[in-house]
Amino acid sequence: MNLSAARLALLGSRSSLGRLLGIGAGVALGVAAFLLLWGAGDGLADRVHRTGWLYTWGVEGPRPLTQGESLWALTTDYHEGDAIVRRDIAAGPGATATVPGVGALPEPGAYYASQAFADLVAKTPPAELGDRYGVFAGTLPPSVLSGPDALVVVKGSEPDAVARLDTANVITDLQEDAAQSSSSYRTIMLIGGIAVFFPVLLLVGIATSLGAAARAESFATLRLIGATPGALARLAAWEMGAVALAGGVLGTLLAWALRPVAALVPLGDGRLYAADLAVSPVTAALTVVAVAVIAAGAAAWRIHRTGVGPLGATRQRRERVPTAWRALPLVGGLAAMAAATLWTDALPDSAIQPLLLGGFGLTTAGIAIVGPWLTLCAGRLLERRARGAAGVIAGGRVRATPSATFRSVSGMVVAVFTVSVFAGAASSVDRITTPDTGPGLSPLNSVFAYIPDGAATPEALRAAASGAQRLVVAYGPPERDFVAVSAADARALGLPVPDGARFVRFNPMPFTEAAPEEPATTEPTPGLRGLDPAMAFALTDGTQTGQELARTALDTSGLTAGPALSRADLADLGLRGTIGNLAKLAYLGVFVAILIAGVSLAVSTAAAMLDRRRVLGLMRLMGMAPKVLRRVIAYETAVPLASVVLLSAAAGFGVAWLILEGLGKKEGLTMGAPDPVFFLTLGVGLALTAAATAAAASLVTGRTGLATTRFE
Amino acid sequence: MTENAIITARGLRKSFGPTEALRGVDLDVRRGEVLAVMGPSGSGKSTLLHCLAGVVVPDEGTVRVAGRDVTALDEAARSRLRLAEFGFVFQFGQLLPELTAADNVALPLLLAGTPRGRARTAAHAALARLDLAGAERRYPTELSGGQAQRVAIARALVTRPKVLFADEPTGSLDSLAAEHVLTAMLDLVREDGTTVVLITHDPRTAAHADREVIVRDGRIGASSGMVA
Repeated sequence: MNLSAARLALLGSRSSLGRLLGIGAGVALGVAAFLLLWGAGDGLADRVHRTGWLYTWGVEGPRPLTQGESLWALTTDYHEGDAIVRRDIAAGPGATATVPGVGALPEPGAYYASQAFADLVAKTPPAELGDRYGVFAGTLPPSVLSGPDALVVVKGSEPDAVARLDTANVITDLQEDAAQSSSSYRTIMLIGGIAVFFPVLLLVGIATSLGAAARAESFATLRLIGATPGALARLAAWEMGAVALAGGVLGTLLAWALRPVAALVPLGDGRLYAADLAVSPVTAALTVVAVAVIAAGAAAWRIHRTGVGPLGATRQRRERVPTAWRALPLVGGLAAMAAATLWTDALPDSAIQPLLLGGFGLTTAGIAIVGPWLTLCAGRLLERRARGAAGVIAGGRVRATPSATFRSVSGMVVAVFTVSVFAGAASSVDRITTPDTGPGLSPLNSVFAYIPDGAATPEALRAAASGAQRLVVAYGPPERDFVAVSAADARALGLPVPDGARFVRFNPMPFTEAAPEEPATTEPTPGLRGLDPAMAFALTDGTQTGQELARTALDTSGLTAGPALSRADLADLGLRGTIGNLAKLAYLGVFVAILIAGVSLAVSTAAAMLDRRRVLGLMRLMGMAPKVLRRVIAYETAVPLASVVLLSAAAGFGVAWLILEGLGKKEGLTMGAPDPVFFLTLGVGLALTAAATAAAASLVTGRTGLATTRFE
Repeated sequence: MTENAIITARGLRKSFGPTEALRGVDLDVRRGEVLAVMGPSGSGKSTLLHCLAGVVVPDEGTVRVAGRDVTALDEAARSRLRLAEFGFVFQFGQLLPELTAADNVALPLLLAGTPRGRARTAAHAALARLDLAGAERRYPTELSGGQAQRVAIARALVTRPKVLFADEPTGSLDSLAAEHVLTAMLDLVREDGTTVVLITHDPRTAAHADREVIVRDGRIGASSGMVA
C-alpha cells in the first residue's frame, strides 16, 4: 500500500481536512480544560503549603517564653463582611520562628500585611480598620499567601496582650502542612475534579469520532485497491495520533494563554495566582502524549471493529442491545456512598474517603453506563407510540442505536447530575449564610467579644466602647457555661424576660450562633454576685460604619479575648467550611461542564446526522419538509435526555444528601431547597441544548441536498 | 407541446460552477408512458431527472407537470408536489436501516399526514404486490439486494404517484435480480397507469421502456419510439 496514495485518499478533500481540523480543535479544547483543571488542583495544593505557616499550632498554651520561643494567636477578624486572617505575635528572646518571606517578627505595635489588606487599610478610615493593628511595617510576599485577594495581617504585640487571646500558643517552628486541609476538603475537591473531567473526556471522545461514516467509506475504497486491514489500522492510528498530538500541543498553549483569565475565578478561599494554574512541563508532555496514544489506539480499534471488507463495502455493525444489567454500576456507586454514610461512626476516616470517592466515580460512570439502556426503553416506547414520520424515524434510530444516541447527550446528562449534586450540597450552605433573627438571638446590629477571666471591669469596657449606642456586659462564671445580665440589658438584647425577673441567665452559645437549632432561653437568676465580666455586646446603629467602629473600639481596648464578631460573621465562617468550598467550586465546575457538554452535543448531533446525510437527503428529495428533519433531530436529542435527565437529577440530589450525611454530619448540615442558581444553571443547560440542536438542524438541513443523492 | 403530456420541459439549462450539465433540453413525457433516459456518465441524465422532479430549479427554462409550472414554485411547494405526485427509486442506500420494511414503505404516507395504522395497512399491501408478504418486519440489513430494491419500489408506489422517477434502479443488482425487480416494477406501474422516467446506462433495461431518449453533453441527442 502506497502511503502517499493513502494520504491523498484521506486528506485530499476539503471535508477531510475540515474533519481533521474539527477533531484537532475538540482535542485542543479538551486538553486545555484538563490542564487548567489539573493546574487548579495543583494550585490549591500549593496554596495549602504556602499558607501552612499561618495555621501552625503550638503544643502549649501561653506561659512565660524561653529562649527561641514566640507566642502566636490565630484569629479571624472581619471588615464589612470580608474575613481577615489575623495573627498576633509576641516574640520571646531569640525567637526562632519568623514570618516567612519577611524573615523577622513584627515589633509590638507594628504589622506586616498582604498587599490586598494594605490596599484595604489605605482606603478605609483608620477608626474602622487600621487602628486595630498599629503601624504598617511591610508587605507579605505572594509566596506566603493563598492568592492576590488574601486579606492577611501579622500583628506584633507584647506577650501579655497575646496571652490574653483564646487561641494563643507557644511556637518554635512553623509547619508547611498545617493549613486547613481536612480529608473532607480533599474528598470534595476530588469529587469536583471527577465531575468536571467526565464531560472533558466525553468531548475528546466525541471529537475523535467525528465523521466516522465518511471515514469508513474512504477506508473501504482503500481496501478495494489493496490495503490490508492492518495497514488501514496503522494508517488510522497515525492519522489520529498526529491530529491528537497537534491538538494536544495547541491545547497546552491554549491553557497557558488562558491562565490569567482562569485565575480571575475564585476557588475556595479566593483567587489563585495565574502562576498557580501552571502545570509542570512533564505533566503537560505526559498529557499530550497520553491523549495522542489513546486517540491512535482508539482509532485503530475502531477500524478493526468496523470490519471494512475487501469488496469496498462497509457493513454497519449493529449495536449490542443494552440490558438492565447496565444499572449495576449506578446501584453499586450509590450503595458505596450509602455505606460510607450509614457507617460513618463505625468506619475509620481512611475508609470513608475511598468509599465516597469510589462511590461518586462509580455513580457518575453508572449514569453514563445505564443511559443507553434507558434510551433504548424510551426509543422503543417512542417507536410504538409515534404517529408521524419524524417520530417513526427518530424512534427507529434511537431503538437501533441507543448507545450512539445517548452519547450525544451524555455530557449534558452528566452535567445535570453534577449540578444536582452541587445544588443539593450548596443548599445546606444557604441555610447558614443567612443568620436567623428573633428573640433569643443576638441582634444583627451588635458585635460581641469574649472577655478573659478577670481581665476587665464594666467601666473599662464601657469607656472602650464609647462609640456604640449601648454596651451590654454579660457576667459569668470562669467556666462560661452561662452568662447573666440585668432584665433591662436582656430586653435590649432581645432576650425574653420572665415576669418579675430582675436578672436572667442564658447559654451564650445558641444566642451567638448564626443558625442555632433553638434560640437561647432565659431563666431568672438572683443577681450578678460572684460573676465576672464574660462577654461584651456593643449595640450599634446597624450601619457598616457603626459596626466597624465598635469592632475597632473593642479590639483596641485590650480587654477582649479575640476580635469582636457579629452573627453575620459567624454565618460567613460557616460558608468558609468544607461545604462552603464545595459550593464555591461547584458552580464554576458545573458551568465548565455544561459549556463543554453543549459543545459536545452540537458536535455529536451534527456528526450523527451528517453520517446519515445520504439517506436523509433522499428523504428530503421524496418530499420530506425541513421541519420534519428538524423534528427528527429534536426527538433524537429529547428522548435520551428526557429518559435519563430525571434520573440524573434524582441521583445528584441523592448523592448530595449522602455527602452531607457522610462528611457534614459533625457540622450539623442538612439539605434544604436548591438555590435559584441551580434552576438558572439548568436553564442554561436547556438553552444550550436547544441552541446545539438548532445549530445541528441548520447544518444538517443545508447538507442534505442534491449532492448527497448522486450515485455515479 | 405533445398532446396528453404529463411533463413538459422547455429550454432547460443548468450549470454547476463552470460545468454546464444541461444545455437547452426540450422534452415531453406522456401520461402513462415509460420513458428511458440513457447516456454516458456525466451527460446530464441525473440533472435532467432532478429538474423534471423539482428537486433543483433550472437556471433557464420551464418544467410543467400536469400543466403546473414547477420552476415557479418555492421549495416548500415543490416538496409537497414531490410527496403527493411523484415517487423515487434510486440505485442503493435509500432505506433507513433502523426501520422495518413496512415502516420504510409507510414513510411517504406518514409524511403526507396519513394515520399510522392506515399507513401500515397500505405498506403491507404495497409489499404484498411486490411479493414481499412476510418481510414486513425485517430490517434492510436482513434483506437481499433485490428485496431491498423491491421495498424501495413499494415505498415509491405506495402513495400511488402520477410519476415515478427511477435513477439506475437496478444498477446495483446482478442481471437476474435486475430483471426480476424491473419486471415487477413495470408490471405495477403499467397496471396503475403511472408515468415512469427511468434513467439507465443499460440497454437491456431501456428495452423495457416505451421510448428512449439519449442525453449527450447536456442535450437530448437522439430518441427512439415517439418523437420527443
